[in-house]
Amino acid sequence: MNPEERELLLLFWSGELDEPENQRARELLQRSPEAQAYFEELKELEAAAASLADPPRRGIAGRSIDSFKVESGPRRRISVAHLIGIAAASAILVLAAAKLFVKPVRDPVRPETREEISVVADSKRKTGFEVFDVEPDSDVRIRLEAARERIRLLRSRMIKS
Amino acid sequence: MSDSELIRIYLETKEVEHLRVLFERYESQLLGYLIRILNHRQDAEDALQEAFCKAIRGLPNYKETNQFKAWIHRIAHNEAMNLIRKRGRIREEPEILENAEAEGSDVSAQLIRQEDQQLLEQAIARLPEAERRVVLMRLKSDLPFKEIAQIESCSINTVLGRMHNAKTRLRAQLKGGLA
Repeated sequence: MNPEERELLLLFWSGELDEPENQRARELLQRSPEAQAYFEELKELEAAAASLADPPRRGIAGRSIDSFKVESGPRRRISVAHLIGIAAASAILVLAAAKLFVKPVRDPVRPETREEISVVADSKRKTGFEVFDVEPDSDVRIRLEAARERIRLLRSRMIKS
Repeated sequence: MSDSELIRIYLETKEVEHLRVLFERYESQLLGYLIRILNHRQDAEDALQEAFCKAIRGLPNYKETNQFKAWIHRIAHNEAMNLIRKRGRIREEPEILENAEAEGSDVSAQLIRQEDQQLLEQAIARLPEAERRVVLMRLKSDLPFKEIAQIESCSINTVLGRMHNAKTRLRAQLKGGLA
């Protein structure tokens, strides 16, 4: 018997062959006494091994489950809906904070009322440049910077928590 | 209830009773395998417990439908291999498992049977380690050669070669045959 035939018999004995190979193994067993003896030995060994004892159950399955519970503790599962909720709440908080600290500031440069517009137009006509043509108020910039800083802080605290 | 159903229900409900039922199906078989591989009962119990813990952690990612037996076997086998690597070598004294059958009408037949079992246990214990693993996985755990090749991370031809060599050795050791 060559190694290929031996492998065929081992797989046949193990029940791992497809039908055409099963047929090949059956034909081999029919024509070869050596193959028959080999196959009989395998079956004998299988029967003997089946009688070997397994140890009695020690309850390790239960111990493993319990020890795992102790190890890991109760785990909170965060669902996608929870995550979306947290993200939405964070966004609302950030927006609310921004609204608190960044009040809409009336641009002193841009004339809004009818009287102001007429004053600007009048001054332009008289002087050739706008009366309110000045740099934006530095106080506004400071307040904006402060608001941005607070938002940054708030966001970092939220991420940490 | 099948293994896959138990896993699915456990993952849905997180009720550990399903997990307990699942693990208890394989506990004795795996413990027997580990004792015969490690030759040490306490080490085998430790390895099995660690294997079960790893299986619990891995269950949410378990995707091999209807192959839980091979999967848990692979985990237990890896634990045994880790333990062997850690302690450097397998302990010398093989652990012989004895059948608990004590009662029966034909006492002499039972004694002969127990003697046969002991002979076979000893013969298996004397096999080279790689061959012993293949024999135990195939004969005791009833795993197909294809699964054994995956667990052992080798080709199926290597596994079949080991099985053939083991069979030859066992036959030589048990010459005269089993009663």
